[in-house]
Amino acid sequence: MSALTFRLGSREFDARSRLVMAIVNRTPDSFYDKGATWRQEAAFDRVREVVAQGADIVDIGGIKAAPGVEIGADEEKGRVVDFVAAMREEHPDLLISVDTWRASVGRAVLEAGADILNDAWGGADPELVEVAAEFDAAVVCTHTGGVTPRTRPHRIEYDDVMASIVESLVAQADRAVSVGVPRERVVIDPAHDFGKNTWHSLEATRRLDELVALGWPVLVSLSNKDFVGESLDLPVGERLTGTLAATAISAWHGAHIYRVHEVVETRQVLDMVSVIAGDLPPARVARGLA
Amino acid sequence: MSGAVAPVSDVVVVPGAPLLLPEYQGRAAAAPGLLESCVEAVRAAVEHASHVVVVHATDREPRSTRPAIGLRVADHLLAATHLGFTVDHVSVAWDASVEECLELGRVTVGAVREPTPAGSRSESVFAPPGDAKTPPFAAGDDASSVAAQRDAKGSVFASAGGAKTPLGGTPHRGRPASTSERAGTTLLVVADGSARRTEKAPGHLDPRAAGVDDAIVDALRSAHMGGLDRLLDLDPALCADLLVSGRAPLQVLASAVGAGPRTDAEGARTAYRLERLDVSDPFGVLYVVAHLMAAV
Repeated sequence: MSALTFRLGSREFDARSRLVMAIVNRTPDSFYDKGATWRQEAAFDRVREVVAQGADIVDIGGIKAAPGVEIGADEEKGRVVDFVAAMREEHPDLLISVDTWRASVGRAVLEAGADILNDAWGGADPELVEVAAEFDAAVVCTHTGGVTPRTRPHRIEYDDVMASIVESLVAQADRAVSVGVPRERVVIDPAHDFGKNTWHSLEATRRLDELVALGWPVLVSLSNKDFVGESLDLPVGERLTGTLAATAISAWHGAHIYRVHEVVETRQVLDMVSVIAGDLPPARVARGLA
Repeated sequence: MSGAVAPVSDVVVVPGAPLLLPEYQGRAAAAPGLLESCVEAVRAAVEHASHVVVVHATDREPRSTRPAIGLRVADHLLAATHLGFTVDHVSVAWDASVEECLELGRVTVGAVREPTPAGSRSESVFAPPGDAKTPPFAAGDDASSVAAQRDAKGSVFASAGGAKTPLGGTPHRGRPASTSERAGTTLLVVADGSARRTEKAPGHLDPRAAGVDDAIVDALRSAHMGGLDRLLDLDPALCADLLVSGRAPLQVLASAVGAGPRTDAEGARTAYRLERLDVSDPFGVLYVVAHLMAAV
């Protein structure tokens, strides 16, 4: 466990790493930002802002997760490829992730300089990991219960949701390795709310240590999601505190990457957990020691 | 007593703040520059020394079985110089009487080796890393082997009458002398002023703190005019009230360099000039980093 090493881009991380992946959407209709970074200049400003706030990774998405107008591969590329290229030029050392399930989009963004393919729909396009292997890129495997991309879960039940998550993620990770993605470039994500009701997402959070124990780096995407909203009966826009509580629990369980909207608050929570866990020294210590 | 008092070529005073210790470091220094200032001063004070006598107080709030904080701070700073020398540790009770401090000071640099009622001593050897011929520092080294090694190298505790302290070069910038060139004894005194200097200070504000602290700083500043004698005027009860943890070590220092009443005639008193004095109180505790050199 403590021997875990994973690599993103040219950087290497270990089991004690707690990284912030900031969400920047190139969409007019995502649930949280509602198109705030749809304009290209606004998106560039947002990238600069999250980098300044200490984000380790930026995750670019060209299609919102929820159902809506169909966006073809060409339209998706139009939203993200040139943007990734420009980001790469402006931020040579920034880790760039792209949230896509399409292999053709994955190829285009890797050519443009992206480091990570965030396959948020659980291997819906089996060629995606092959593209990642070809470019020596990292890939994020996610558990969706096998649903079709951009659908909401409806009346899904599992005998044991964690068992389903583990089985699916291990299979996807093993396949990624088998097609040539380096083992230390494979990340697993239980994908809260994807193919899951709130009970499922809560159980995945509660039992996240079982996922960490598999020995792959674990990504969690908790930010402002419905399982937080339903837990606290709060609408989008009032879920930050709940998100941060779930973040702290996930960090204590040992998750490594946190895909978030709020970088500053997340960074503070992760650093606080790292300090409590003894993985990071406090920033500055004088109390009782002067 | 033999009547021989070893030549103290250098005196260095450093704070005893635990935040100087590596085990308490955060990601950034709590008091930026303080550790560097201490190491610089200690290095300048020991680079011509073959022997170091550490004077530190016992902990005022002992809760653990660890060595006193002052001892650990001193050892950390000495190790950071990457120089080699033998070390004596002299521990003085933080609340020792002035008389006890005087007595301990007399034997601290003298030939008398037995422990005294108010304090205790232990010995160890520091060596620069990478020097295979010299044993690395190990606290609690067998005292007799340390003593034998010191004897083999010649008398570190030379008589005051005959010893000429080799103080060539500039202490701050000069190259460290080789071991054979170094023959002096350095006193490393771990001592703080009051911890009640401000509202936010560990002991809250006591308006009397500034006066006592000023007296300590003035005594060091006027060392060339016999100012160290005035350290003996510090009142133990008042200093205890003000959480002046350095009072007893400073009084041992004063005695060790010849202040106070003497029962034997050891010749002319050595005068000391101030080479460095940094005073700060970032947390409401008076920190003094001072380097005094014998005026030859």
